[in-house]
Amino acid sequence: MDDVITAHAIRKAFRERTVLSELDLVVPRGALYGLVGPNGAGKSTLIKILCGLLPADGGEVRVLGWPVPSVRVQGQIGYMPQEPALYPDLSVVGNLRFFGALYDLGRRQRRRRIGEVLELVELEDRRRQKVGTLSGGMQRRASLAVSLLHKPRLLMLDEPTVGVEPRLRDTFWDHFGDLVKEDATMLISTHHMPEAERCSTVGLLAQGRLFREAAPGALLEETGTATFEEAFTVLTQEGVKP
Amino acid sequence: MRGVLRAELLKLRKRSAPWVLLTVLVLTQALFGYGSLYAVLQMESEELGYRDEQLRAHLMPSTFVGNALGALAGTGGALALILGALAMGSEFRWGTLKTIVTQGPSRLVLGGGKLIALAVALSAFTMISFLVAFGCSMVIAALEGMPVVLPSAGTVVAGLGAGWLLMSVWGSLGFLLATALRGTGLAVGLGLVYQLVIESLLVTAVPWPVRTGEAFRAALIGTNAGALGRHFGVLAGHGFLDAPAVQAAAVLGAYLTVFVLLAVLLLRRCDVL
Repeated sequence: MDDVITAHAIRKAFRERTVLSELDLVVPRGALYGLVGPNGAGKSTLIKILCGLLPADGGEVRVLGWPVPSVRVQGQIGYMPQEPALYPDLSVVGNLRFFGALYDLGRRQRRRRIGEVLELVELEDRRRQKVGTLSGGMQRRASLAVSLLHKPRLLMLDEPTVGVEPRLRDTFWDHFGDLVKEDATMLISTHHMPEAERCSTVGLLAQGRLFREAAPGALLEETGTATFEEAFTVLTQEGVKP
Repeated sequence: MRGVLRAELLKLRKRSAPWVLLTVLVLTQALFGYGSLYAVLQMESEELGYRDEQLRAHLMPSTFVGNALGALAGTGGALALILGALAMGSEFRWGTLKTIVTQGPSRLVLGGGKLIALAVALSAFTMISFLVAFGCSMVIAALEGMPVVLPSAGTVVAGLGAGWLLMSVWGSLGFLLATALRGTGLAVGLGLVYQLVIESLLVTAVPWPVRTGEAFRAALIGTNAGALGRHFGVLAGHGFLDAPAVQAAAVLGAYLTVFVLLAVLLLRRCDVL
Protein backbone atom coordinates (compact mmCIF):
# COMPACT_ATOMS: atom_id res chain seq x y z
CA MET A 1 0.00 0.00 0.00
CA ASP A 2 1.72 3.15 -1.22
CA ASP A 3 -0.92 5.74 -0.42
CA VAL A 4 -1.74 6.11 3.25
CA ILE A 5 -4.55 8.62 2.71
CA THR A 6 -6.77 8.79 -0.35
CA ALA A 7 -9.70 11.16 -0.34
CA HIS A 8 -11.87 11.75 -3.36
CA ALA A 9 -14.47 14.46 -3.91
CA ILE A 10 -15.02 15.17 -0.21
CA ARG A 11 -17.81 17.57 0.55
CA LYS A 12 -18.67 19.05 3.91
CA ALA A 13 -21.00 21.88 4.84
CA PHE A 14 -22.20 23.20 8.16
CA ARG A 15 -25.75 24.33 7.43
CA GLU A 16 -25.45 26.76 4.52
CA ARG A 17 -21.70 27.24 4.82
CA THR A 18 -19.61 25.02 2.56
CA VAL A 19 -16.34 24.11 4.24
CA LEU A 20 -14.96 21.47 1.86
CA SER A 21 -15.93 21.33 -1.78
CA GLU A 22 -15.09 18.29 -3.97
CA LEU A 23 -11.68 18.01 -2.33
CA ASP A 24 -9.19 15.38 -3.51
CA LEU A 25 -6.16 14.45 -1.45
CA VAL A 26 -3.55 11.73 -1.74
CA VAL A 27 -0.82 11.33 0.86
CA PRO A 28 1.78 8.69 0.00
CA ARG A 29 3.47 6.53 2.58
CA GLY A 30 6.46 8.22 4.21
CA ALA A 31 5.34 11.73 3.28
CA LEU A 32 5.65 14.73 5.53
CA TYR A 33 2.61 16.47 4.12
CA GLY A 34 1.90 20.06 5.10
CA LEU A 35 -1.64 21.36 4.85
CA VAL A 36 -1.41 25.11 4.51
CA GLY A 37 -4.22 27.62 4.27
CA PRO A 38 -5.75 30.73 5.76
CA ASN A 39 -8.13 30.64 8.74
CA GLY A 40 -11.40 28.98 7.88
CA ALA A 41 -9.92 27.20 4.85
CA GLY A 42 -11.14 23.84 6.14
CA LYS A 43 -7.87 22.34 7.44
CA SER A 44 -9.21 21.21 10.81
CA THR A 45 -12.46 19.92 9.27
CA LEU A 46 -10.47 17.88 6.74
CA ILE A 47 -8.29 16.37 9.48
CA LYS A 48 -11.35 15.52 11.59
CA ILE A 49 -12.95 13.76 8.61
CA LEU A 50 -9.73 11.81 7.94
CA CYS A 51 -9.61 10.77 11.62
CA GLY A 52 -13.24 9.61 11.50
CA LEU A 53 -14.47 12.24 13.93
CA LEU A 54 -16.74 13.99 11.46
CA PRO A 55 -18.80 12.45 8.69
CA ALA A 56 -18.27 13.86 5.21
CA ASP A 57 -21.42 14.85 3.35
CA GLY A 58 -20.09 13.17 0.23
CA GLY A 59 -17.03 11.61 -1.33
CA GLU A 60 -14.83 8.70 -0.35
CA VAL A 61 -12.07 8.57 2.24
CA ARG A 62 -9.65 5.73 2.81
CA VAL A 63 -6.99 5.79 5.50
CA LEU A 64 -4.37 3.03 5.74
CA GLY A 65 -6.41 1.17 3.15
CA TRP A 66 -9.68 1.19 5.10
CA PRO A 67 -12.75 3.30 4.43
CA VAL A 68 -13.17 5.89 7.19
CA PRO A 69 -14.63 5.75 9.77
CA SER A 70 -13.33 2.37 10.85
CA VAL A 71 -12.12 1.06 14.16
CA ARG A 72 -9.48 -0.86 12.18
CA VAL A 73 -7.74 2.44 11.52
CA GLN A 74 -7.86 3.59 15.12
CA GLY A 75 -4.85 2.76 17.19
CA GLN A 76 -2.67 3.10 14.10
CA ILE A 77 -3.07 6.85 13.94
CA GLY A 78 -1.99 9.61 16.26
CA TYR A 79 -4.19 12.68 16.33
CA MET A 80 -3.44 15.97 17.96
CA PRO A 81 -6.41 18.35 17.92
CA GLN A 82 -6.03 22.11 17.76
CA GLU A 83 -7.12 22.52 21.38
CA PRO A 84 -5.23 20.29 23.82
CA ALA A 85 -7.61 17.46 24.71
CA LEU A 86 -6.17 16.33 28.02
CA TYR A 87 -7.43 15.86 31.56
CA PRO A 88 -6.56 19.11 33.37
CA ASP A 89 -6.91 17.56 36.83
CA LEU A 90 -4.37 14.85 36.03
CA SER A 91 -0.61 15.44 35.98
CA VAL A 92 1.34 15.35 32.70
CA VAL A 93 2.57 11.86 33.48
CA GLY A 94 -0.94 10.86 34.65
CA ASN A 95 -2.34 11.80 31.25
CA LEU A 96 0.43 9.88 29.49
CA ARG A 97 -0.18 6.82 31.69
CA PHE A 98 -3.90 7.01 30.92
CA PHE A 99 -3.38 7.09 27.16
CA GLY A 100 -0.60 4.50 27.41
CA ALA A 101 -3.05 2.14 29.14
CA LEU A 102 -5.64 2.93 26.47
CA TYR A 103 -3.14 1.97 23.75
CA ASP A 104 -2.57 -1.25 25.71
CA LEU A 105 1.16 -0.59 26.03
CA GLY A 106 2.87 -2.93 28.49
CA ARG A 107 4.13 -1.44 31.73
CA ARG A 108 7.81 -1.45 30.73
CA GLN A 109 7.15 -0.17 27.22
CA ARG A 110 4.82 2.52 28.59
CA ARG A 111 7.43 3.72 31.06
CA ARG A 112 10.11 3.86 28.38
CA ARG A 113 7.91 5.70 25.88
CA ILE A 114 6.71 8.18 28.51
CA GLY A 115 10.34 9.01 29.28
CA GLU A 116 11.14 9.43 25.57
CA VAL A 117 8.21 11.69 24.69
CA LEU A 118 8.65 13.79 27.82
CA GLU A 119 12.26 14.33 26.86
CA LEU A 120 11.26 15.30 23.33
CA VAL A 121 8.69 17.90 24.44
CA GLU A 122 10.97 19.02 27.29
CA LEU A 123 8.44 18.50 30.04
CA GLU A 124 10.43 16.12 32.28
CA ASP A 125 10.63 18.71 35.03
CA ARG A 126 6.86 19.29 34.84
CA ARG A 127 5.87 15.62 34.77
CA ARG A 128 4.11 15.80 38.16
CA GLN A 129 2.39 19.12 37.47
CA LYS A 130 -1.34 19.10 36.74
CA VAL A 131 -2.03 19.86 33.09
CA GLY A 132 -4.60 22.51 34.00
CA THR A 133 -1.88 24.58 35.66
CA LEU A 134 0.49 24.52 32.66
CA SER A 135 0.79 27.40 30.18
CA GLY A 136 -0.97 27.06 26.81
CA GLY A 137 2.28 26.23 25.01
CA MET A 138 3.16 23.56 27.56
CA GLN A 139 -0.31 22.04 27.26
CA ARG A 140 0.23 21.74 23.51
CA ARG A 141 3.56 20.07 24.13
CA ALA A 142 1.85 17.60 26.47
CA SER A 143 -0.83 16.99 23.85
CA LEU A 144 1.85 16.29 21.23
CA ALA A 145 3.52 13.85 23.63
CA VAL A 146 0.22 11.95 23.93
CA SER A 147 -0.20 11.69 20.16
CA LEU A 148 3.36 10.34 19.76
CA LEU A 149 3.25 7.91 22.69
CA HIS A 150 2.25 4.75 20.81
CA LYS A 151 4.48 5.36 17.74
CA PRO A 152 1.59 5.48 15.28
CA ARG A 153 2.03 4.71 11.57
CA LEU A 154 0.15 7.86 10.62
CA LEU A 155 0.20 11.14 12.54
CA MET A 156 -2.34 13.87 11.93
CA LEU A 157 -1.41 17.01 13.79
CA ASP A 158 -3.59 20.11 13.71
CA GLU A 159 -1.30 23.10 14.13
CA PRO A 160 0.98 21.36 16.61
CA THR A 161 3.41 24.20 17.20
CA VAL A 162 1.06 27.11 17.94
CA GLY A 163 2.28 28.83 21.11
CA VAL A 164 5.49 26.81 21.18
CA GLU A 165 8.76 28.74 21.40
CA PRO A 166 10.87 28.83 18.17
CA ARG A 167 13.77 26.71 19.46
CA LEU A 168 11.45 23.91 20.56
CA ARG A 169 9.50 24.24 17.33
CA ASP A 170 12.70 23.38 15.45
CA THR A 171 13.26 20.40 17.72
CA PHE A 172 9.73 19.17 16.97
CA TRP A 173 10.26 19.46 13.23
CA ASP A 174 13.57 17.63 13.47
CA HIS A 175 11.70 14.88 15.29
CA PHE A 176 8.93 14.82 12.68
CA GLY A 177 11.67 14.34 10.05
CA ASP A 178 13.12 11.46 12.09
CA LEU A 179 9.70 9.82 12.38
CA VAL A 180 9.24 9.96 8.62
CA LYS A 181 12.66 8.35 8.18
CA GLU A 182 11.37 5.55 10.46
CA ASP A 183 8.52 4.94 7.98
CA ALA A 184 5.79 7.01 9.64
CA THR A 185 3.58 9.27 7.53
CA MET A 186 2.61 12.73 8.72
CA LEU A 187 -0.14 15.15 7.83
CA ILE A 188 0.36 18.49 9.55
CA SER A 189 -1.69 21.63 9.26
CA THR A 190 0.16 24.86 9.81
CA HIS A 191 0.00 28.61 9.44
CA HIS A 192 3.68 29.01 9.94
CA MET A 193 5.37 29.29 6.54
CA PRO A 194 8.94 28.38 7.55
CA GLU A 195 7.44 25.13 8.89
CA ALA A 196 5.67 24.43 5.60
CA GLU A 197 9.03 24.65 3.86
CA ARG A 198 10.22 21.66 5.86
CA CYS A 199 7.50 19.40 4.43
CA SER A 200 8.13 17.00 1.56
CA THR A 201 4.84 18.07 -0.04
CA VAL A 202 2.64 21.06 0.62
CA GLY A 203 -1.07 21.24 -0.15
CA LEU A 204 -2.57 24.70 -0.35
CA LEU A 205 -6.14 24.89 0.83
CA ALA A 206 -8.49 27.81 0.33
CA GLN A 207 -12.26 28.08 0.17
CA GLY A 208 -12.61 24.36 0.79
CA ARG A 209 -10.50 23.29 -2.20
CA LEU A 210 -6.98 21.94 -2.45
CA PHE A 211 -5.91 24.20 -5.27
CA ARG A 212 -2.17 23.48 -5.47
CA GLU A 213 0.03 20.63 -4.33
CA ALA A 214 3.78 20.37 -4.83
CA ALA A 215 7.15 20.26 -3.11
CA PRO A 216 7.94 23.62 -1.46
CA GLY A 217 10.91 24.19 -3.81
CA ALA A 218 8.72 23.66 -6.86
CA LEU A 219 6.22 26.22 -5.60
CA LEU A 220 9.02 28.80 -5.20
CA GLU A 221 10.19 28.07 -8.73
CA GLU A 222 6.69 28.30 -10.12
CA THR A 223 5.92 31.66 -8.53
CA GLY A 224 9.41 33.10 -8.95
CA THR A 225 9.39 34.29 -5.37
CA ALA A 226 12.23 34.26 -2.87
CA THR A 227 10.36 33.01 0.16
CA PHE A 228 7.63 30.51 0.73
CA GLU A 229 5.55 33.17 2.43
CA GLU A 230 5.52 35.23 -0.76
CA ALA A 231 4.80 32.14 -2.83
CA PHE A 232 1.90 31.28 -0.58
CA THR A 233 0.46 34.79 -0.88
CA VAL A 234 0.67 34.70 -4.69
CA LEU A 235 -0.78 31.21 -4.96
CA THR A 236 -3.54 31.88 -2.43
CA GLN A 237 -4.66 34.95 -4.33
CA GLU A 238 -4.79 32.84 -7.47
CA GLY A 239 -6.48 30.02 -5.67
CA VAL A 240 -9.31 32.05 -4.23
CA LYS A 241 -10.21 33.76 -7.49
CA PRO A 242 -13.77 32.88 -8.40
CA MET B 1 -11.80 -3.55 26.55
CA ARG B 2 -8.94 -4.47 28.91
CA GLY B 3 -6.98 -1.35 27.93
CA VAL B 4 -10.01 0.93 28.36
CA LEU B 5 -10.85 -0.57 31.74
CA ARG B 6 -7.26 -0.25 32.97
CA ALA B 7 -7.07 3.34 31.74
CA GLU B 8 -10.41 4.30 33.27
CA LEU B 9 -9.56 2.75 36.63
CA LEU B 10 -6.24 4.57 36.60
CA LYS B 11 -8.01 7.84 35.85
CA LEU B 12 -10.59 7.34 38.60
CA ARG B 13 -7.77 6.62 41.02
CA LYS B 14 -5.70 9.63 40.02
CA ARG B 15 -8.43 12.26 39.73
CA SER B 16 -9.29 14.19 42.85
CA ALA B 17 -13.09 14.21 42.36
CA PRO B 18 -13.74 10.54 43.32
CA TRP B 19 -11.65 10.98 46.48
CA VAL B 20 -13.52 14.15 47.42
CA LEU B 21 -16.86 12.37 46.93
CA LEU B 22 -15.69 9.40 48.98
CA THR B 23 -14.51 11.72 51.77
CA VAL B 24 -17.91 13.44 51.81
CA LEU B 25 -19.64 10.05 52.04
CA VAL B 26 -17.43 8.90 54.91
CA LEU B 27 -17.73 12.17 56.85
CA THR B 28 -21.51 12.55 56.46
CA GLN B 29 -22.04 8.93 57.39
CA ALA B 30 -19.83 9.16 60.49
CA LEU B 31 -21.19 12.54 61.55
CA PHE B 32 -24.90 12.25 60.78
CA GLY B 33 -25.34 8.48 60.82
CA TYR B 34 -23.52 7.97 64.12
CA GLY B 35 -21.87 11.05 65.68
CA SER B 36 -24.90 13.30 65.95
CA LEU B 37 -27.22 10.46 66.98
CA TYR B 38 -24.80 9.40 69.68
CA ALA B 39 -24.67 12.99 70.91
CA VAL B 40 -28.50 13.01 71.10
CA LEU B 41 -28.37 9.76 73.04
CA GLN B 42 -25.92 11.31 75.52
CA MET B 43 -28.00 14.48 75.95
CA GLU B 44 -31.18 12.54 76.56
CA SER B 45 -29.53 10.28 79.06
CA GLU B 46 -28.06 13.26 80.93
CA GLU B 47 -30.99 15.64 80.73
CA LEU B 48 -33.90 13.25 80.97
CA GLY B 49 -32.27 10.53 82.96
CA TYR B 50 -33.15 7.70 80.67
CA ARG B 51 -31.72 6.25 77.53
CA ASP B 52 -33.57 5.85 74.34
CA GLU B 53 -33.17 2.12 73.91
CA GLN B 54 -34.38 2.15 70.34
CA LEU B 55 -31.84 4.79 69.35
CA ARG B 56 -29.05 2.99 71.16
CA ALA B 57 -29.93 -0.30 69.49
CA HIS B 58 -29.87 1.52 66.15
CA LEU B 59 -26.25 2.50 66.74
CA MET B 60 -25.00 -0.97 67.71
CA PRO B 61 -22.96 -3.32 65.45
CA SER B 62 -25.96 -5.63 65.00
CA THR B 63 -27.64 -2.96 62.82
CA PHE B 64 -24.62 -1.56 60.95
CA VAL B 65 -25.81 -3.05 57.63
CA GLY B 66 -29.08 -1.13 57.78
CA ASN B 67 -27.25 2.02 58.84
CA ALA B 68 -24.81 1.78 55.94
CA LEU B 69 -27.68 1.18 53.50
CA GLY B 70 -29.52 4.21 54.88
CA ALA B 71 -26.45 6.37 54.11
CA LEU B 72 -26.04 4.84 50.65
CA ALA B 73 -29.72 5.32 49.77
CA GLY B 74 -29.54 9.02 50.71
CA THR B 75 -26.20 10.87 50.47
CA GLY B 76 -24.51 7.93 48.75
CA GLY B 77 -27.01 7.94 45.89
CA ALA B 78 -26.48 11.66 45.28
CA LEU B 79 -22.69 11.21 45.31
CA ALA B 80 -22.93 8.19 42.99
CA LEU B 81 -24.99 10.29 40.57
CA ILE B 82 -22.28 12.98 40.60
CA LEU B 83 -19.54 10.39 40.06
CA GLY B 84 -21.44 8.82 37.15
CA ALA B 85 -21.96 12.22 35.53
CA LEU B 86 -18.28 13.12 36.01
CA ALA B 87 -17.11 9.82 34.52
CA MET B 88 -18.72 10.67 31.20
CA GLY B 89 -19.38 14.41 31.20
CA SER B 90 -15.74 15.39 31.66
CA GLU B 91 -14.89 13.76 28.32
CA PHE B 92 -17.15 16.21 26.50
CA ARG B 93 -16.06 19.19 28.54
CA TRP B 94 -12.35 18.67 27.94
CA GLY B 95 -12.65 17.32 24.39
CA THR B 96 -10.90 14.12 25.42
CA LEU B 97 -13.58 11.87 23.92
CA LYS B 98 -12.38 12.64 20.41
CA THR B 99 -8.76 11.93 21.32
CA ILE B 100 -9.76 8.63 22.86
CA VAL B 101 -11.98 7.37 20.06
CA THR B 102 -9.47 8.25 17.34
CA GLN B 103 -6.80 6.23 19.03
CA GLY B 104 -8.22 2.84 19.82
CA PRO B 105 -11.52 1.78 21.23
CA SER B 106 -14.92 1.94 19.58
CA ARG B 107 -17.56 3.95 21.40
CA LEU B 108 -19.24 0.71 22.46
CA VAL B 109 -16.04 -0.59 24.04
CA LEU B 110 -15.31 2.82 25.55
CA GLY B 111 -18.80 3.06 27.09
CA GLY B 112 -18.59 -0.51 28.37
CA GLY B 113 -15.15 0.07 29.90
CA LYS B 114 -16.26 3.27 31.55
CA LEU B 115 -19.38 1.68 33.02
CA ILE B 116 -17.44 -1.29 34.38
CA ALA B 117 -14.88 1.09 35.93
CA LEU B 118 -17.74 3.07 37.46
CA ALA B 119 -19.25 -0.13 38.85
CA VAL B 120 -15.88 -1.04 40.40
CA ALA B 121 -15.56 2.42 41.96
CA LEU B 122 -19.10 2.24 43.34
CA SER B 123 -18.46 -1.19 44.82
CA ALA B 124 -15.43 0.35 46.60
CA PHE B 125 -17.65 3.19 47.87
CA THR B 126 -20.17 0.62 49.13
CA MET B 127 -17.55 -1.45 50.93
CA ILE B 128 -15.96 1.61 52.53
CA SER B 129 -19.39 2.80 53.67
CA PHE B 130 -19.95 -0.58 55.32
CA LEU B 131 -16.52 -0.39 56.97
CA VAL B 132 -17.29 3.10 58.31
CA ALA B 133 -20.65 1.94 59.70
CA PHE B 134 -19.01 -1.11 61.24
CA GLY B 135 -16.18 0.93 62.76
CA CYS B 136 -18.48 3.61 64.19
CA SER B 137 -20.86 1.05 65.68
CA MET B 138 -17.96 -0.82 67.28
CA VAL B 139 -16.67 2.39 68.86
CA ILE B 140 -20.13 3.26 70.23
CA ALA B 141 -20.61 -0.27 71.55
CA ALA B 142 -17.27 0.03 73.35
CA LEU B 143 -18.16 3.47 74.76
CA GLU B 144 -21.51 2.17 75.95
CA GLY B 145 -19.99 -1.03 77.32
CA MET B 146 -22.41 -3.13 75.29
CA PRO B 147 -21.68 -6.66 74.06
CA VAL B 148 -20.83 -6.89 70.35
CA VAL B 149 -23.47 -8.78 68.38
CA LEU B 150 -22.77 -8.93 64.67
CA PRO B 151 -25.24 -9.57 61.85
CA SER B 152 -24.85 -12.87 59.99
CA ALA B 153 -22.37 -13.10 57.11
CA GLY B 154 -25.32 -13.70 54.76
CA THR B 155 -26.93 -10.42 55.85
CA VAL B 156 -23.67 -8.53 55.30
CA VAL B 157 -23.16 -10.00 51.82
CA ALA B 158 -26.78 -9.39 50.81
CA GLY B 159 -26.51 -5.86 52.22
CA LEU B 160 -23.36 -5.20 50.20
CA GLY B 161 -25.18 -6.35 47.07
CA ALA B 162 -28.16 -4.12 47.86
CA GLY B 163 -25.87 -1.16 48.55
CA TRP B 164 -24.01 -1.63 45.28
CA LEU B 165 -27.34 -1.85 43.42
CA LEU B 166 -28.61 1.41 44.97
CA MET B 167 -25.38 3.21 44.13
CA SER B 168 -25.20 1.78 40.61
CA VAL B 169 -28.74 2.87 39.72
CA TRP B 170 -27.96 6.49 40.64
CA GLY B 171 -24.46 6.31 39.13
CA SER B 172 -25.80 5.02 35.82
CA LEU B 173 -28.47 7.73 35.79
CA GLY B 174 -25.69 10.34 36.15
CA PHE B 175 -23.74 8.63 33.36
CA LEU B 176 -26.82 8.58 31.10
CA LEU B 177 -27.64 12.25 31.73
CA ALA B 178 -24.03 13.29 31.04
CA THR B 179 -24.05 11.32 27.78
CA ALA B 180 -27.37 12.79 26.69
CA LEU B 181 -26.48 16.37 27.67
CA ARG B 182 -22.82 16.08 26.58
CA GLY B 183 -21.49 17.67 29.74
CA THR B 184 -21.28 17.47 33.51
CA GLY B 185 -22.92 20.56 35.03
CA LEU B 186 -26.45 20.25 33.72
CA ALA B 187 -26.40 16.45 34.17
CA VAL B 188 -25.48 16.76 37.85
CA GLY B 189 -28.00 19.56 38.41
CA LEU B 190 -30.93 17.82 36.74
CA GLY B 191 -30.05 14.47 38.29
CA LEU B 192 -29.97 15.90 41.80
CA VAL B 193 -33.19 17.84 41.26
CA TYR B 194 -34.87 14.64 40.15
CA GLN B 195 -33.44 12.60 43.01
CA LEU B 196 -33.90 15.05 45.86
CA VAL B 197 -36.93 17.09 44.79
CA ILE B 198 -39.06 15.56 42.06
CA GLU B 199 -39.22 12.04 43.47
CA SER B 200 -40.16 13.23 46.94
CA LEU B 201 -42.72 15.68 45.52
CA LEU B 202 -44.27 12.85 43.53
CA VAL B 203 -44.51 10.76 46.67
CA THR B 204 -45.56 13.34 49.22
CA ALA B 205 -47.07 16.38 47.51
CA VAL B 206 -49.17 15.04 44.66
CA PRO B 207 -52.67 13.97 45.83
CA TRP B 208 -52.82 10.74 43.84
CA PRO B 209 -55.88 8.49 44.09
CA VAL B 210 -54.91 5.65 46.44
CA ARG B 211 -54.40 2.98 43.78
CA THR B 212 -52.56 5.26 41.38
CA GLY B 213 -50.37 6.51 44.20
CA GLU B 214 -49.45 2.95 45.20
CA ALA B 215 -48.62 2.00 41.63
CA PHE B 216 -46.60 5.18 41.21
CA ARG B 217 -44.62 4.65 44.39
CA ALA B 218 -43.90 1.09 43.32
CA ALA B 219 -42.21 2.42 40.18
CA LEU B 220 -39.89 5.09 41.64
CA ILE B 221 -36.20 4.62 42.37
CA GLY B 222 -36.17 6.25 45.80
CA THR B 223 -39.15 4.34 47.18
CA ASN B 224 -37.75 1.03 45.95
CA ALA B 225 -34.36 1.91 47.43
CA GLY B 226 -36.15 2.59 50.73
CA ALA B 227 -38.13 -0.65 50.49
CA LEU B 228 -34.95 -2.61 49.87
CA GLY B 229 -33.18 -0.86 52.75
CA ARG B 230 -36.03 -1.58 55.19
CA HIS B 231 -35.35 -5.30 54.87
CA PHE B 232 -31.97 -4.57 56.43
CA GLY B 233 -33.31 -2.32 59.18
CA VAL B 234 -33.42 1.15 57.55
CA LEU B 235 -36.15 3.18 59.25
CA ALA B 236 -39.25 3.89 57.15
CA GLY B 237 -39.79 7.46 55.99
CA HIS B 238 -42.93 9.33 54.90
CA GLY B 239 -44.65 7.81 51.85
CA PHE B 240 -42.68 4.59 52.12
CA LEU B 241 -43.28 1.62 49.86
CA ASP B 242 -44.11 -1.68 51.46
CA ALA B 243 -42.70 -4.08 48.88
CA PRO B 244 -40.83 -7.39 49.13
CA ALA B 245 -37.03 -7.08 48.85
CA VAL B 246 -36.97 -9.16 45.67
CA GLN B 247 -39.52 -6.91 44.00
CA ALA B 248 -37.66 -3.74 45.00
CA ALA B 249 -34.34 -5.22 43.80
CA ALA B 250 -35.97 -6.26 40.50
CA VAL B 251 -37.32 -2.74 39.89
CA LEU B 252 -33.92 -1.21 40.67
CA GLY B 253 -32.23 -3.81 38.45
CA ALA B 254 -34.58 -2.89 35.62
CA TYR B 255 -33.72 0.81 36.05
CA LEU B 256 -30.01 -0.03 36.00
CA THR B 257 -30.37 -2.08 32.81
CA VAL B 258 -32.39 0.61 31.02
CA PHE B 259 -30.01 3.42 32.05
CA VAL B 260 -26.93 1.46 30.92
CA LEU B 261 -28.47 0.43 27.58
CA LEU B 262 -29.69 3.95 26.85
CA ALA B 263 -26.30 5.46 27.71
CA VAL B 264 -24.42 3.03 25.45
CA LEU B 265 -26.91 3.55 22.60
CA LEU B 266 -26.63 7.32 22.91
CA LEU B 267 -22.86 7.18 23.04
CA ARG B 268 -22.80 5.13 19.84
CA ARG B 269 -25.11 7.49 18.03
CA CYS B 270 -23.40 10.72 19.14
CA ASP B 271 -20.83 11.03 16.36
CA VAL B 272 -19.21 8.95 13.69
CA LEU B 273 -17.00 6.53 15.52
